Amino acid sequence: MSAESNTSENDGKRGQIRNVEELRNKGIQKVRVVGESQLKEMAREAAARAVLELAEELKVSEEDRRSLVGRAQKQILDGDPGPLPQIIPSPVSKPDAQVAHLPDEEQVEESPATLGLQEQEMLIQLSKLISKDWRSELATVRDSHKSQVDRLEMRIEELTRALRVTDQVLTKGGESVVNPASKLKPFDNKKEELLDQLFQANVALREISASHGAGSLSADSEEGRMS
Amino acid sequence: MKDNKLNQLSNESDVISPKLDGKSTAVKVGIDLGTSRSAITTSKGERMVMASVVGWPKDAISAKVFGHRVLVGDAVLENRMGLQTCFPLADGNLAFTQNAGDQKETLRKAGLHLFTALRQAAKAAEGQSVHAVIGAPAEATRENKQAIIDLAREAGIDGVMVVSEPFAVAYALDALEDAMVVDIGAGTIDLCRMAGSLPDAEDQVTIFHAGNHVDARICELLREQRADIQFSPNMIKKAKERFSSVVDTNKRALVTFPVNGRPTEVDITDQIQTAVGELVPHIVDGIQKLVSTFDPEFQHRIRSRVIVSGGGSQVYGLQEALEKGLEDLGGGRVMILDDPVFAGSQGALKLALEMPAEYWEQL
Repeated sequence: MSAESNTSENDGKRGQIRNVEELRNKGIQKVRVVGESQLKEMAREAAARAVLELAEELKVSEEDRRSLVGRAQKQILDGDPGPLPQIIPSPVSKPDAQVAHLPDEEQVEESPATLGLQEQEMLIQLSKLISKDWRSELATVRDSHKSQVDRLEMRIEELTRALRVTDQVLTKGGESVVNPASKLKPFDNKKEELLDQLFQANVALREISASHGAGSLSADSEEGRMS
Repeated sequence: MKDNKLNQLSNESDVISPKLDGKSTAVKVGIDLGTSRSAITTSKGERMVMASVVGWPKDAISAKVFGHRVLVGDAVLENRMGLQTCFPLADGNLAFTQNAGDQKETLRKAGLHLFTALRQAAKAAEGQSVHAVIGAPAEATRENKQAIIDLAREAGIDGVMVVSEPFAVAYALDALEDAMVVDIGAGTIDLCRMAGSLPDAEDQVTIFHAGNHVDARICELLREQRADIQFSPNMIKKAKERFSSVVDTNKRALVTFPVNGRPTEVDITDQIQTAVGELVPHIVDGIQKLVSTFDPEFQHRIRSRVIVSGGGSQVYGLQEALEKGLEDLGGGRVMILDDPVFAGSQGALKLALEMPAEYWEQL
């Protein structure tokens, strides 16, 4: 059945045919239409192939590899993995047919295993794409874990320091907890200065509040910004 | 955090409470006073976050049901049908300072109850003082800072210091120079550049287009595009907190709303993404303002260390979106904090702990 005849004969598939015509109008002469069930089957096989390829890179025993592949196929493909596909080392390339033929859905479903060379090639391309996608996904997850670990390590360091200070506060009863001689760090002098400035700013705030009263400050409130 | 050791120590502290003598044994606390939620971290190792909302029973029946004359925090949101609710903070400031008459008094009382709840969260022993460093918006007015001090003291907090919220975050991280902090809250987004000294007015920017504006915008978009669905601002806020993203993902924001009383799953991914995405240009503008007015020789340094904290920092894809926005300024590096909700209160606690004891005595 050609695309043209399909237009007149089958109104229910008009949308599909219109797409084919649009492609032809754009200058694409060779179009191959693949049935939905066949496409699904190809995608399933491509995913299975990608799982196999990824599993081959793992340094695990054959038994573990098989178990891993079986589980992955069951979970990812959502069904019985069935027999593992054979990987064709060098597929023969062949151009598509000149005129598109819409494959009969029933025919495809009756013989899902009989894939042509074109489908085999597409299958391999698809499996490569899926493998590539999964690899980049794995790399992203690895990077994200690494940065998370870095952040958590920084946080552990921070909390350990805070814990030490808190420990001293609780045991010494809130006295000045750190011996000045033992805490000298490059930034400590600056910190003392900052703390002093912060204290002075708060003292000034309190003094203004005491002398003016809370209700009479709105006029100069804008210039009262401070840290 | 409730570390075992800290927990044990705090218990020991409770045991020896008769020896406490006021200021020298004061509990130090850091408070991040937020428009939507307030966080507190204490020197006893306790930390807590609560909704900044106060509720009063509507009538005698609801008063009997709740068993309290006043409720504070998340309990108010859970029981709001039987309560008159009041948010004491608006746009990061104590709202009563901007109101008059009865409303002013109600808002002031709500603020006082909030501080009282925070004081109780410090779990000080009887007779034990509480010293607090409280984070306020970067550009909070003097009047508002004074109001914070007055209310906190009225609520029983003995020593109070107010500090710029992003400065507290920077202090928590020891990022006191060559850094910029962006604190994304519900009421305000506060930006502060750190150059090794106490930040001044020109080192800070407050943006009022923050989380609450995003909620309002999502509501507006939903009303325009899906007039049939029924929702409350609280439902929208929860959906935003769960699904907010500024990038396209496969994850759809499917939320159940009533449509003519029937629970219906609605996809609000686009509305959330649009509303949240509108935050990014505001933040980039703020960063640009602080970078462009900085010493040209050192501008690249603060651009290379932009630290983002606050509840709003959890928007998916925000880091990439901000870094993309910084490309026009010559590029920059953005870091999202792993504990954004408590970063401000932890920094405030650190300030409280490191502040010399004689300073607290003078206060």
